[in-house]
Amino acid sequence: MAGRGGAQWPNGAAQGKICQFKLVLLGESAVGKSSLVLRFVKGQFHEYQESTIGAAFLTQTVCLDDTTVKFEIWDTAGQERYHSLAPMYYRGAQAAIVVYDITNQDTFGRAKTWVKELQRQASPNIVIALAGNKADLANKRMVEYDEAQAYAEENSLLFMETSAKTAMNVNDIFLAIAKKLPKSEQGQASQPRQRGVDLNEQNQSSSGGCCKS
Amino acid sequence: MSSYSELKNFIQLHLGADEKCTACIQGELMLDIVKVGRVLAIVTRKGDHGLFVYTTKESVPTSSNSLQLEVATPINAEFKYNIDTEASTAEILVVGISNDKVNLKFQFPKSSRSNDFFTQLKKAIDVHSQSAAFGLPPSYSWISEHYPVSPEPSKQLDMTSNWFTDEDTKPKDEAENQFSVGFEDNFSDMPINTSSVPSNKDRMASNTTHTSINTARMSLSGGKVHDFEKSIEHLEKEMTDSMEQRMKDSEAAPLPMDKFIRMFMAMREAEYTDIHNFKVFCGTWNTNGQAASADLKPWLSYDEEPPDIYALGFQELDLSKEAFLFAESPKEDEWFEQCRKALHPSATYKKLKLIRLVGMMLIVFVKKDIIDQIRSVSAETVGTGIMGMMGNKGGVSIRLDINSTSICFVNCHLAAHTEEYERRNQDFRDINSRMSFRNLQTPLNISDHDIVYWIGDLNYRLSELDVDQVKKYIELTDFKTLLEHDQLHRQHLAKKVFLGYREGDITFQPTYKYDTGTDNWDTSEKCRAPAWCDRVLFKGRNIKQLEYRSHPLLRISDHKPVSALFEMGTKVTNTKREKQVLEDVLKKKDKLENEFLPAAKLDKLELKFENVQFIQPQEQTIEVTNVGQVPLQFEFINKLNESRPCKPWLSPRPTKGFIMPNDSLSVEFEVYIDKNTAPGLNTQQDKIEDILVLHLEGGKDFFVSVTGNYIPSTFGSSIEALVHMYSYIRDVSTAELIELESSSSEASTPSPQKGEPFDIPKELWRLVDHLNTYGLEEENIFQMPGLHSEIQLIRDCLDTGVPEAIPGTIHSVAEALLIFIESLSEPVIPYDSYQKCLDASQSFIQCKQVLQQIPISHRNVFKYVTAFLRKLLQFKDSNLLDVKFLAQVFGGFFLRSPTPTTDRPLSQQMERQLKSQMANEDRRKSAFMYHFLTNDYDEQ
Repeated sequence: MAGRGGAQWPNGAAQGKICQFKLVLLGESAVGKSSLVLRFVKGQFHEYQESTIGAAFLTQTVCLDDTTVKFEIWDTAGQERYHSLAPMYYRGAQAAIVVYDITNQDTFGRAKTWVKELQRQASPNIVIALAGNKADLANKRMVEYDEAQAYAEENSLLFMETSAKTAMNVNDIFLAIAKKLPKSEQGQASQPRQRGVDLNEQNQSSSGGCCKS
Repeated sequence: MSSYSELKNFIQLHLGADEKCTACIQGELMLDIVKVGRVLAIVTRKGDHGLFVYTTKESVPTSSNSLQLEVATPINAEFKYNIDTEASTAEILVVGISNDKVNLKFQFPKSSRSNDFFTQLKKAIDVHSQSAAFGLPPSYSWISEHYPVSPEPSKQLDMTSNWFTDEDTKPKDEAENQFSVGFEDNFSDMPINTSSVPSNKDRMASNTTHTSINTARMSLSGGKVHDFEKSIEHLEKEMTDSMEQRMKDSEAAPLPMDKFIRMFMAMREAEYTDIHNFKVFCGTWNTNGQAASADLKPWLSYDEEPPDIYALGFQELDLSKEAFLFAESPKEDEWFEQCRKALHPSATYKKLKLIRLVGMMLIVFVKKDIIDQIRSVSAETVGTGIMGMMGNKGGVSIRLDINSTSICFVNCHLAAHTEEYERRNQDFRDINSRMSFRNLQTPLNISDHDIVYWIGDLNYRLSELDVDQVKKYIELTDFKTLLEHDQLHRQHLAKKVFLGYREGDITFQPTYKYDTGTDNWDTSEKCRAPAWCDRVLFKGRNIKQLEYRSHPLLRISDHKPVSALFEMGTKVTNTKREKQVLEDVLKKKDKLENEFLPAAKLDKLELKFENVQFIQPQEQTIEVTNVGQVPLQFEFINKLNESRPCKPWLSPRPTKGFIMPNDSLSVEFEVYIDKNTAPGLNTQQDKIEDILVLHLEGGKDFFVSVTGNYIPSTFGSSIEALVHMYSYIRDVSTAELIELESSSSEASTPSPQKGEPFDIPKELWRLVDHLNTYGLEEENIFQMPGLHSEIQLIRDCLDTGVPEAIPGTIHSVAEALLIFIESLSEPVIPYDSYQKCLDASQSFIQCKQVLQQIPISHRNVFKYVTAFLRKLLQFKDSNLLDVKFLAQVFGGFFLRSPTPTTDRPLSQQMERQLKSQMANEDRRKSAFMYHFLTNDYDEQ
């Protein structure tokens, strides 16, 4: 009969393994990327969130029924002048959240461009989620839910309208990504994060799975 | 029987490379009443010999694994062997082998093999005495390195006492006449400190290191210290690499839950576990080899309520020789059956596991309805008897998990004899440390379990009391006084044994030694004092002892059985609550991790460099402060598909750094426009604009933006643009400048818009004219450097007309001229004519032919400058110029290779190739130029 350790962890999630995934947030500036991360990681919201100049890095773990997923989150600068640097962050990422602001049609257009760029340039198996943020400002809505939903479906994206301010759907969208990420294959769950940005690996394996069950 | 050579090979596999088995033989070790198979081998290393005795798993060893070293002893001055002629027969040879440590008796079948062996043995003894006669000190430390596990010199292997019964049949002096297989005496023979005897493994490891260092030294003797250092570096790198590899290996994806999480989950276990209680019955009985004739119900069904688990330990179950020699014992089945029949009638039980080692047997029964809560059942044995490993003494153990609680039952029989309590302590420690459940995913030892029940004939006696005193106290039922003399009680209090274990109060009279079949104390000749040999101890949380008693009605043995009843709480994990706790733990861990990420503050993220000018550096600094809680390492990293972190005109210093918490570091950013970067900036193809990525190791990235403007200069412009520029470049609008530069490449022919071009750029004319007027006789002209500040003024003079006259010394002007030529966006000899000129360099005529093909303004510049140089050479007595020097300098400036020099690291071979090619090109450039310095261009 096979045994296990000192009988501390018989079954359940704790017995499982941790899968590590790199997740990147993309989108026009001021759509709320940093706010989403801040809400997800620290449960906080700042009305006047500073503009991100660079790429912020944080980690957060979520428990699924059978596995535990640890996200290494890269929150990128949204300003157009930094656009050329974005590939440094989505390269090698297993998941991306493309964020737009439901009160601003332009940001939705920009989000579509990001999705296109990811489909063309990122890992082929990248899990992309579309987040229509600022859902609390529904009275100023400029992007219809159905329109975004239809677009997401067409492009096989996860889609949710979120609000970093009210926390609506924030955990849910990360959880949905965690569930969709492949965990059964043997994979490179997490490459050593020496730079966050791996300049040498030209063709990183894209299968982000990790847990052998 | 395996062939002799095979056997020898098996032995050789156990030996080191420099050790050799010279002879071996199979025989039997004679122990009082039994004989056990052994293999003896003579092993030699560098002229010293040892006798190695191996146990065998099979009667015919089939591999080297079948052999296990039991004794290894030096063949030294004390070593003797005697053939016992009385005991020997025609077929059997009986031999006593002894030295100061060992005294063993073997018997061998008589054959040529045995003759050989003893001839070799005799030789080995002779060799020893000979070398001793020569004063050569023997070294036997190598023998000790073979010793199984760690040799404990103090450990005494009791082989002379009778070990089948626990009777003290030998007089004490003989019992003390035990031998030890120690090596401590021989250590003194060793030339080095005995404490540093390396193990076999260490020795090999250090050998490898030495080899590598020796290799390194060899390259040192080759004359290059550098090589030596390299080799050391290489060695160190190899070591780090292998360590890193090991670390990588150990953390293959997926990552296991880390220690932090495990620790915190364990600390908060109570939050997500419930306690389920079980009744555990532990029984122990030394049956003294008796037949399983008695009804065991009075022992096993003593209580009203049925227990959930039975753990029943027996000792001396079978005292027959066969039990010792063979795995089978009919007694095992008899007693098992007898137990099964006597289990509590109001419940149904299943046998979970049975394990037996010689006379020690442990059976675990569990109630049928709890069997599905039990997992990971495993059993092991440890022998501590003869030679520290035989099964006449020792322990047997069964472990299991109930829900989330790990439980281990140990049944043991420890060393006998009243005065041997130290050995009993040692037996306990041996069983405790050597019992290992290896067939589990994670091997476990006894101490890894949540709960341990330790039962058995521990054999501890009552000290300092004679038989009558003991009996008197028993009659008075003064167990309290008696227990003060109980060795286990004393040793336990002194923390010498059973550390962390508890025992219930003993309220029953001693369980040993009775006349068999009665309740009478031992009336035999030896008339032993009664003692509590049979005990139950336990360890762990959530255990309550309910009963602890003996069962005197069972009379068939000289011991009475003992039992203890426990209520045991086991942990049951509530997976839902467990997940909640895990989430909470992970959240805390994330928080900590994020808190301990490196964090920095930069006092600005934007740098503006205004009015950047040619060869005039500008500097700005950014203060990087470590505002995190951990030391910080930063680096400017390359952007995707780029080989450097920023544009070539920008240099951050330092590019990487290390800052302690609350410390700051200034990073300087210098913008410097030189001949390479000026053309692009002049034409606005490049701008003073860049973004640098400052990466914190293990953390976030900052983007540092650089902006600014460049003031165009005649330096870095093209000849074409300059010959069409009628005013100073500063007075030309950016748009005009771009227009001038963009059309320059197309045609040098005059166009209506551009007007008539100058023959040569006016700036060039001004510089040359100045030198022609004031510098023809200047000593070391073009060989002395100018002043940087003066060159900047000359630049302003040419670009703006202020100051009106060219300022500075002749040397500054001369250098300005060189820089002017060098930084022309297209060289005087255009790139597309470069190769043709090199090819023509042998012939002046051909050279001139090539020049006919270049744009006229370029040809004019070439002719103008060479004419001036020829004039300079007329004054070479004063200015000390040399035609070859000028040919080399101006050849290099006029002819610039269209292949850009690469930043990339090249292979050594490519670098060498490139160097020789460049030297060749330089020679031909000089040759080309030489023609024009020694001949008038327009002469035929």
